Amino acid sequence: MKKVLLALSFVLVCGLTALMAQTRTITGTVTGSDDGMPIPGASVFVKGTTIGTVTQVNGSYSINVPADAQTLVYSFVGMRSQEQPIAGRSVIDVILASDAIAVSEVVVIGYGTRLKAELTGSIASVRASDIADNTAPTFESALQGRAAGVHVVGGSGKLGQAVRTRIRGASSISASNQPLYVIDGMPVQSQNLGANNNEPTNPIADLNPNDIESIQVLKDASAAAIYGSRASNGVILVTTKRGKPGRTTFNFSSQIGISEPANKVNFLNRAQYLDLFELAYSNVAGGSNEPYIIWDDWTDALDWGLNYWRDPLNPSDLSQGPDTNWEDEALRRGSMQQFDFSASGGNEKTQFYAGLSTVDQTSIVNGNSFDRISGRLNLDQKATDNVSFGMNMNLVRSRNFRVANDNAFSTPLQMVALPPLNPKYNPNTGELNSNTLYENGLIVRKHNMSNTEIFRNFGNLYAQINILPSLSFRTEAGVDLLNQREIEYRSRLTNDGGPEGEAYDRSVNSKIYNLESFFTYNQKLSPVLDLNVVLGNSLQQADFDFAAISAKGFPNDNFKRIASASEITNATSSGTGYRYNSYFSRANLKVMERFLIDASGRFDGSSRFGKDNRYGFFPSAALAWIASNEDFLLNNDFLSFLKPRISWGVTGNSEIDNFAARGLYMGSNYAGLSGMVSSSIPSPDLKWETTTQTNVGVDFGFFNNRITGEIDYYFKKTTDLLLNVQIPGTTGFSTVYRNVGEMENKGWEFVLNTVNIEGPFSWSSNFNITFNKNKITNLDGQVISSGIWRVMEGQPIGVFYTKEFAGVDPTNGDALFYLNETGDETTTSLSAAANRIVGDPNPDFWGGFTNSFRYAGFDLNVMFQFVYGHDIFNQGRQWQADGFSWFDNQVVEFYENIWRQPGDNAKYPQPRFYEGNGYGTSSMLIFDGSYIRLKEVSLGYTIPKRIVQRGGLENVRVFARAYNLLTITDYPGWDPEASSPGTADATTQSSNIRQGWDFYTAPQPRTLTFGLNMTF
Amino acid sequence: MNAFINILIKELMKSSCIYMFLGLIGLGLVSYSCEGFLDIEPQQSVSNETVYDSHSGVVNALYGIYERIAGPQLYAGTSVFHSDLVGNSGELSWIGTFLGYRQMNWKSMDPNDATITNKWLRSYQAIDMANNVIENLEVVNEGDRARVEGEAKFLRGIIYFELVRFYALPYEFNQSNTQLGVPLVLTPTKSITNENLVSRATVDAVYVQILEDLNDAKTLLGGIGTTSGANGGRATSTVAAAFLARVYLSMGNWEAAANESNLVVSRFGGYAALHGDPRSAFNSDSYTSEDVFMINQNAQSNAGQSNDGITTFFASLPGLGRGDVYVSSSFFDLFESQDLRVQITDNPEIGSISDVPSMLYVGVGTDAGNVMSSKWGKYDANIPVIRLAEMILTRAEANFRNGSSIGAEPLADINAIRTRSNATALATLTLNDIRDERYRELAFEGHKLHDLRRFRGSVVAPSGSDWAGQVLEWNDGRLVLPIPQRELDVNENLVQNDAYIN
Repeated sequence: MKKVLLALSFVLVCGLTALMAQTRTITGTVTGSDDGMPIPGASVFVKGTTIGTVTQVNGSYSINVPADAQTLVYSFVGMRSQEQPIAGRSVIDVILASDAIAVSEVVVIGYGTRLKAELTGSIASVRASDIADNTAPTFESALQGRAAGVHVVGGSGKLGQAVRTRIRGASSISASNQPLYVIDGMPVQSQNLGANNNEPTNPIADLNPNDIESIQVLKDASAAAIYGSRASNGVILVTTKRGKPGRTTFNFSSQIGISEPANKVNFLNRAQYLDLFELAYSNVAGGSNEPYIIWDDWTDALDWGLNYWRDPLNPSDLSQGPDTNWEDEALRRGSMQQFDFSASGGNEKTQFYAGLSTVDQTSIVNGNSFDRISGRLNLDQKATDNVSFGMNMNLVRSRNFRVANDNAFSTPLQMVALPPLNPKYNPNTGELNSNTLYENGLIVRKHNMSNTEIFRNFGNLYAQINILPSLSFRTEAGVDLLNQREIEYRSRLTNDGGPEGEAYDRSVNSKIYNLESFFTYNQKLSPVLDLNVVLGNSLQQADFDFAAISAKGFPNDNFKRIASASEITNATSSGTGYRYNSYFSRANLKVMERFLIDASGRFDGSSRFGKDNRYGFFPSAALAWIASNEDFLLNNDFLSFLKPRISWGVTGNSEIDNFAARGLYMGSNYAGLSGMVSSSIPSPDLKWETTTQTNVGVDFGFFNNRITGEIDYYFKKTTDLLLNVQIPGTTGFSTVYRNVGEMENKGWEFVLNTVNIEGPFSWSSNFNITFNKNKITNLDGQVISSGIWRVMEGQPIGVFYTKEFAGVDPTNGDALFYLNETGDETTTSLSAAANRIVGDPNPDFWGGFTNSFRYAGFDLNVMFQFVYGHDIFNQGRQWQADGFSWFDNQVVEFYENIWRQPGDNAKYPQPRFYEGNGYGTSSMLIFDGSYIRLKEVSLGYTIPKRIVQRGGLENVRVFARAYNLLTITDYPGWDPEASSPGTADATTQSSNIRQGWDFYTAPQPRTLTFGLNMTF
Repeated sequence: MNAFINILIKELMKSSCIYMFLGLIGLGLVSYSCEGFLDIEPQQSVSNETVYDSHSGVVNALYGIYERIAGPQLYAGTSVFHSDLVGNSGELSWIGTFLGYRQMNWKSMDPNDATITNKWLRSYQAIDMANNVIENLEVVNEGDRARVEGEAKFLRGIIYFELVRFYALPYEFNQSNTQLGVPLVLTPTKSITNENLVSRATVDAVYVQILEDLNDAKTLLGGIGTTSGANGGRATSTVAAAFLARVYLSMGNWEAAANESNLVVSRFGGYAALHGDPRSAFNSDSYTSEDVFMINQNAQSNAGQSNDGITTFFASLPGLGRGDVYVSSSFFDLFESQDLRVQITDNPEIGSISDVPSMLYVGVGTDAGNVMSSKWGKYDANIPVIRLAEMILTRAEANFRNGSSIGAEPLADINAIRTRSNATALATLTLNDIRDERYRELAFEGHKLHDLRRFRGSVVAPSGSDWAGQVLEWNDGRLVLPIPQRELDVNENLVQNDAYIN
């Protein structure tokens, strides 16, 4: 109805303007609040009259109004209309806010599009303006705090590494919990392809975020079930930019910036180290056992343990001598620069979007950097009235200059373990000091390399035939070709490469072919009945080839390629793959413009299962009622939109090892004698893991959609878990995949969008929050553990299960632990203490709060993001706060909170050199990771049109952005977002379970950038 | 729905149907081509059914067992390490940060420890493969059958010996030995049922099985060469006899131990096969005349050097090793000063282990400055498991305790070992002399715990241990590894060792 009114007023405005008597002129510009871009074709008219005009291509207008005119009304499709009192002004610039429930907004869904107002499922949308000029190399971080139900954990501040994305909680234990990524209709490679010895990489980092037009996250089953067996974890649909008929628009944007660690932990300096060491030694001195008998006193122990720690000129003056801040060596200032150039346009027959982009980032982690060059061409051609075709082609080269994994001595952040007494340089030679307590990471940084270079081609070709006005057939053939090359060199001077230098060269060839063919039938069956039906088939084939060679024995560190090696130590090549064959259908029925009835089904086959269990059926159904279209609510200004909806559906998960159902033997090598060893026991009955999800929600708008929002309650139940079940090792096998167990996720999502102030000064807010509760309801008696993480019935996935620290004995400073599984009895013996559930890495709730302000060309965006209730296992503190069980440097926070004398109610136990006091894994290492973060502040200024137009430009905006400006948390480590992904050879199960693991994990950067957007 | 179909048909009738047909044909072609689309085979693996249905499959699986036991989980790592750390009384110092090993040195192990768990899993995987080989001998070519059976039984026997020595209380001479050993699994696993929830057999039953397997192997392998290096680092009847000598010795069957070790020594040609310098027995890429049984390693196949394998822990060389285990002063006191086995190379210019002519050196790599053993200094060198010197010492001990002189007088055997290393020949001999000579000769080779038990010794728990300063006798339960917790979690019939039950 609003649409009709709008159109009507539009016609009237155009038709009648000329007839009116006019007395004075008002001019101005109408821009959009999202991107600050001018809005051409917006209507401007005098309230209560038919006097009006429309804006020009550059958003400007000029209107002659009667002397008694009070108010101007501005409106545009998809925007909230706005009234401005004239109040004697002759220039009125207006910023229109987008209408969160715009009647005409189109949303991409699987195999089609739909009006947002007519959705029955739960879909979160993120727009181009939220993704553009993101400083992270991958777009997922833009979802953080913006999309309700989506929990994104950056994990580590290293660039281009895997990101943990959970949509409405984890729905699997052994199979993947990552969503399916579909770019322009084609499922793409999103899982790590990197070498086993380092952390998993993120192939999504190959996509240039500035090419993205929109992202839709399909959350409930009715939205996702069209992707059937692959949709249990939700689906992220990415749509890239396309051309529109009209003049060619050029866009240039660039951004440069610097970054620094968002936080420093602070380790002891020389004086503090000596003070604490003397104390720790004196607390145990007199021990008659090794190693104390070889030392006279604490300085003797330091002489024994550390080299060059005394001042060479004044050896007896302990206050002199090396005082190295190794944390500053590990974390440094980073930088980034980014350039994007694009052109788009076309005519009625042909439209194009062409974009070229480069980004170059230096991480805050010493030795880590990332760059990417990406070119894209999206082309659409209408061949005849009935036949159209087009293609998308995206060629990318990305390079990641990597450092070792978190759990390697050679990773930069493990330098913090080095005492401040270790000098950076050897005082005798002036070379980097190779006699540090552990490996001197600066030597690694200087000589080693680990470069990953990826050439990627996302491409697809489509043809669409309109058989009838109501019936079309579309075929999409896509390829995702990924060539990855990893070249490593480990210097002879390092532990990993000694004594003669080692090199590693690996190539990965990933080929994913996709063929989708489907009919779409769209028909108004009667004046009150609209039907849309999709029916089709999807084939996917994925082939992977791997080859790697390692060699050692290099003449010197100047030679880094294998050609110069004296000995090939390993050479291997291998391949694997999977295939899917699926049939799908969906019917949407709209009755009387207010009842929406949807049903879909997908029949899905996967090569990963036993022959008799390959196919699964995944149905869904949904119902929605646009109550605000009922007569009794129509044109109600208070409740302007109301749509309750309910959906139910079944999705699957098959993201397990490619041949998990098979009993297999693999090749083996015993010093040249080739053989075979068992690798898995058959599981012929293996089938899909199934998730049934019910969603009840309501979309609403108040005060002419000035306040809009969504409330959703969901209940996800996963049955027949594809579980990597532990079996007795005495069988010769340790695990087997079986369909065992159940888990559930229940949650609430709230989204609230408000337009607080409209007019020349505008202020709008968006708030979203998600509460999720994950619970394992049945594991058939299994207990799954991975390190200190456990999966247990009645508990959320991956609780921390270890000894519980009971505090410090005030009388003697002993660390105390609870002895039994329940009760208050304590013990000083860590090994005697019982294991308990001591923490939960899953958050209770998370969300974001964004405020946008605009005034006279200025725009300000302030976004907070928060996560509450997740615990973190800071394993590094086992050595960073152990009271010198060895010589590792300690954190200042520990030093300041130790037990020192009887009666102290200290946080940490008395330090005891070598023997430790509570040294080991316990809840002393587990902390609350809740945080609220000022994730983004951006301030932009759009230079007035009249100035830029003189230079022939359309629009120019300059901006400054700050990321991670502030983090409020009690977490004592580097970053409460820490979640070390472990190395790439970890099983999917262990990476699912091992959440919230901080092991010398790099913090997120704090980044400040300056940029420029130009359109012409 | 009728309305929909009517409209569809009506519109189809009036418009050009050709596109519709094309579309249907397209979809039809796609579906047609889907026949077999989902049938793909792995490229690096074969189905388990195809392994044991041919001669080559069974032989390949046999070779696979060698690969399994050659890993750091067994003979290229824990077999040495677990014994020397648990049995350590301060002759070596553990300074590494790996908690599991530190706990072994403390004698307070954790049932969740990864190396303890992996040793168990790897052992039973190899046992299951051996069981499969033994069950499928009929497809093996007749000429090779005895050898394949012999090798499989040999491997099964030595793995059970390894398991029972670490995870169970020691065998006691002349006792019934009904203390819990390890589960005896002697048939291949086909599928997982309740029958797989096995219980622990008694120590006695496990030893009976070990003797049966090794004696069978010794007989079945009779046709294979018996000299040093025969059969390329795999089992021969001589190797089976050498392990039998170890087993009998630990059982207190002195006469049998003397006979088996004498067989090995005589087949190797006696003392003449000993190297002139003890250092020559180590860090070798090929067989040496002293190797009775060894793990073959090469650049492509080795226990690794970063966080695994003995070299990593024992070496402190430029770019090699973590220097976590060094030799303490109390070790030097065991030797006469001229003894080759206590000579130390102190040369900061050492580049690799080949620059170290002595048995000890001052470390120049990580944690430099400590005295390191040069037995483990090259990560892809072969790993001696049984050396001829051990067999000579075993013959001496068995004869001495038995009051016999099978093959040689005990004093002659001991002096042969001593004089090779420039130590003074002894005039008389006591049992403690034999014990000490074994330690001097075989230190850091994984004999510490087992010898301690046979000689009824004790260890002192070091500082940091839950029982620091306590004396732990040879049969103390705390010197036994715990049954891995993950195994107890999935098998209700398994019982944890007493010392680990709270």
